[in-house]
Amino acid sequence: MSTLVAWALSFGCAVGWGAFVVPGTVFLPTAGPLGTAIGMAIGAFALGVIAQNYRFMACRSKTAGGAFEFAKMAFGDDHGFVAAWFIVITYFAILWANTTAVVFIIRHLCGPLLQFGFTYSVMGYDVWFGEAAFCSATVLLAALLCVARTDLAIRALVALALLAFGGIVATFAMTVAKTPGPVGAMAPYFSSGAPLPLQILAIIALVPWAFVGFEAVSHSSERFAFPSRRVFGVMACALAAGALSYIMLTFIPAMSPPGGFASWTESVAAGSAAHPVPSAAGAEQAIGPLGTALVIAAMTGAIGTTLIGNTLTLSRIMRAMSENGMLPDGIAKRGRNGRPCRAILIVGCVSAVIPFMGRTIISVIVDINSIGAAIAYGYTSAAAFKFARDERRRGAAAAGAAGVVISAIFLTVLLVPSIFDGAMLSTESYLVLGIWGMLGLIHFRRVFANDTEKRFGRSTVVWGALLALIFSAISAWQFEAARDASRSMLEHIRRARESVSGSGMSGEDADRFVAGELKVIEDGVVRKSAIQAALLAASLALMVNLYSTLRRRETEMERRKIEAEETSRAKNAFLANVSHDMRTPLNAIIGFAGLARTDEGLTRERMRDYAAKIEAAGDSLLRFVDDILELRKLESGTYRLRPAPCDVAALMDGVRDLFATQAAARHLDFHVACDGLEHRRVVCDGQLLKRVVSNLTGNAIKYTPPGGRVSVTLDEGGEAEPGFAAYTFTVSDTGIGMSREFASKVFDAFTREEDAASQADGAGLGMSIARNIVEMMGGTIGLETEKGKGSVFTVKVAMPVAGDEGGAPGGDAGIDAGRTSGSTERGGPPVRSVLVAEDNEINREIVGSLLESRGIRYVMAADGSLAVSTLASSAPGTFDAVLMDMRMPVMNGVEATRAIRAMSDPSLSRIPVIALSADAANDADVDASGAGFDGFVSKPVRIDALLEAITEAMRRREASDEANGQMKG
Amino acid sequence: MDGEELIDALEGRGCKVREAIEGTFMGDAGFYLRMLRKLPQSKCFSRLEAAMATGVVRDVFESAHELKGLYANLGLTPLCALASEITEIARAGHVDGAPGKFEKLGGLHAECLALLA
Repeated sequence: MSTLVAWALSFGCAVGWGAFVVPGTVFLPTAGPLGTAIGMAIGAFALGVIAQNYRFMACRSKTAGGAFEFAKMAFGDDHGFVAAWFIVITYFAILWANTTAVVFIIRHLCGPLLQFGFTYSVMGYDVWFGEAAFCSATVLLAALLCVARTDLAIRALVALALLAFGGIVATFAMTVAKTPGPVGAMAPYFSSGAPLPLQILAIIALVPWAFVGFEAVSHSSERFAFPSRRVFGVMACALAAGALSYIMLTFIPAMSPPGGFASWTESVAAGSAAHPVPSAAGAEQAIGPLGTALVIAAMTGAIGTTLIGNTLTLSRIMRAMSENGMLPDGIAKRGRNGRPCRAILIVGCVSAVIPFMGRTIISVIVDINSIGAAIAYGYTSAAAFKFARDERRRGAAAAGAAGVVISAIFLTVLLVPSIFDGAMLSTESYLVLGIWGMLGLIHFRRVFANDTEKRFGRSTVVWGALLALIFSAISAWQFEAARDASRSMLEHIRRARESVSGSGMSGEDADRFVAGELKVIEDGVVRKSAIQAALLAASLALMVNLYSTLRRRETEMERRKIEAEETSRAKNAFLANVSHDMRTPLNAIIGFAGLARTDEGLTRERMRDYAAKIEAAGDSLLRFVDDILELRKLESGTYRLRPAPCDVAALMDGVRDLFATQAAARHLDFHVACDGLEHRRVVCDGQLLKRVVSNLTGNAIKYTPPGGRVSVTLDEGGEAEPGFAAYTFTVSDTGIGMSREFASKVFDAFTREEDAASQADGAGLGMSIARNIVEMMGGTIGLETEKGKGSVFTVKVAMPVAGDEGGAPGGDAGIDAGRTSGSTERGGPPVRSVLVAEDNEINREIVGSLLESRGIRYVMAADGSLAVSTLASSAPGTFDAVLMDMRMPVMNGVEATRAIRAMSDPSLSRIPVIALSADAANDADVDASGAGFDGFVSKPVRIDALLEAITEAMRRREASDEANGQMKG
Repeated sequence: MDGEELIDALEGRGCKVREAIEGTFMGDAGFYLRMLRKLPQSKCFSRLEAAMATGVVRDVFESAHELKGLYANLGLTPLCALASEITEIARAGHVDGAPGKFEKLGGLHAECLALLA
């Protein structure tokens, strides 16, 4: 992109339709021609400072971007959002104002040609279908051109910008040439209303509205074919061209007042209704039809540049917002030509609707351009100040500070209506500003909710400021509305007095008239107060909601931080403990090895003693390392239970055998009992269960003084799911017991009580490992202890009863016998018993109850592995089918079904397996898994569907078996 | 809150509880409520929470899938829909967009627990 294109973009965004209207209708009556020129010059200089800040920031921005990017860089994403929110409405408003202005050119060139189709009125503006459709087509065409032929659009932009500026200059030059004594013709040079400084200040206050165009340059910086430092020069040229255009377009109707009046003051006093475009009317009066043609050509150029320039700029701003999570992701997607095509098309489509809403609404929105521009300038300058101060660049910092002050003045003048005689914005514009601010809060709430990276919500100040802006805007609206109503009432009274002059109005009539007028005002105030209260309440509610969400998030972050710190502390403590516990045996090994090496009179016997001690220390070290590895596996959840049928009574016998000698050596009364067990055989990881009981028993023996008592018992009983048996292992001793403080952390790794540690070796990992194992088995471990009196450890765990446990028909004690067999209404083989593999405890209970309701016996397995081992240990024919949940820990449904199909016993491997899954459309996946499922039932489960699937699978399996039998026969 | 009030409250939140009672729980509201009141003890949600915290896609998928089935059985339709969306996101091999949905799910889950309290 060349400097000329960048200039055309900036100039195009600044000078549009309004440049041909506002100088004659607003600037001239406000400050006169000279006041306008002075105000414009000062304003342009002030904006020159802002342009310098844009340049400064553009050189520091890694990506293309304007005030949004700069605010984000300097102050964070919250500020970036606010800047972007107001820039977007600013550029949209300019685009919409120029889109709807196309109709004026058409009316001038073609008269009422396009006034066909339906017509309606919006806020006093007559909308014709034909005209609105033409305007929509124009803006869509501009968008399509930007998408399809960006190069062509850029060329058109430059040509149109040159046409606009050239047309204005030519019109001005010809008007000067045709006007006798052009300077004198412009008298009076100032307006006669407010004091001169206020007149000039009023023009300066309008400058942000007049020069919205800097963003167009900074957002295009990634396509620059020139260094970023030249940005200032481009902006300065666009500023100068813009200022000159506004001044010339003010001078034209001042030199040649429309309507043939002697001076512009008379023309202005006559009103602008007859000449809505004063520059065109003035040019026509001075030059004739050529003047009109020149202005129309320039106007076409200005509107064209605005349509193309603003569409491109808006699409870039929206893309930047999208890339930063402020708009949906898809908007940022670029087309094959690298342009944000979706964003361009969205801009075009949204703008295509606007012409059907008429121009009055747009003129209200356009008024808040100045606010949006001032906010963007303020953010850019503040960012420049921050960066310059950090870089110790005094000149740039001064420019940044000056820019902030200038922007603050702009905002103050615009937002405080009483500074000038009339407000700088129309009454409704304040309301629009308030509503836009509130919409910003609502949108931010959504952005904030989807902010997974926690980028937003870091600055509460910015949201307080936005709330203050909403309050100010709505208050200003109320104030201005009240002033309008008062003026309207005075006008009505004046007219009434004029209408009755001569005849006079009776006192009663006058009272009634005034009361009527007051009633109108009162109604208006009540209505507007209600709107004001509703908007303020909604904004406050949004802020409170935002704040509470923010607080929740902060609390959560704080919690995570504390957790991270605790984890870090635990890690450090772990390393310290590991280091300590490894050093103890290592010191022994090194020490005794050193003694063996240096002992001059080493006897064979002493050498054996050293070697035995080294071996013991090595064993201790090895056990420690094993324990560490095991604990790590258990805590990380990578440890896998290996369930298999296990005889718990035999397990207790094993514990007795293991510790009987040790207990006798310590002269302990050692007692192991497991009387009255209903079920001896269960499916569990017997090795690990034995390890838990052994750990507890070993500790009890270790910490019980000679003469004491250690008791290990196993009882069956308590609540358990069908097919399960509940057991309680109790290890009690009359040993040294534990302090209450130590008891609370006895199951933590590396915890040893001071006085107890001196009595025995060990790293303090055994209890932690025991707890992890028990919890992994779905059980609990508890402790009751008293210092000096002993301890009682209790392990409660429920385990599935093994299939080879005698008792029930079919050979499974875990299955309730004697129930009516279940079958479907369609008949088919009766379903008597089912093995259910389901990990979720609630779902297990639901399925169990459903089966029970149909008299079907069942056994539950909490994962695929347990299901496989339960089936493997069951007698053939115990189960009619297996209900297999697809997603389970340890072993999922597909793996478990494959394991079943791989069993050597065909009466087990050919059992019907029905998949259970929450994926309603997953039956295809089930088929595709190739695991050998016979059916599929989706959750939520329905008993009829469940039975249907089971019986169907059983029927198919029987038919298949029969067919195989016949073939073999 | 008695059973009927609880059912009304859940229905009012878009849950299809009565449908679940009729379909899954064979018209036995007592059975349904007994199962529903086990929801606070279930570790399903904590598992998903942990999976979301670590961001391991497979864990997110497994735990969201488990929750989906549980909610489906209990007729907690809006929760089931969110769990399903998280499942599908994770099935696609990533967790982009899942935190937002998980946050919503957390809110609804907490609401359910509050009703059950």
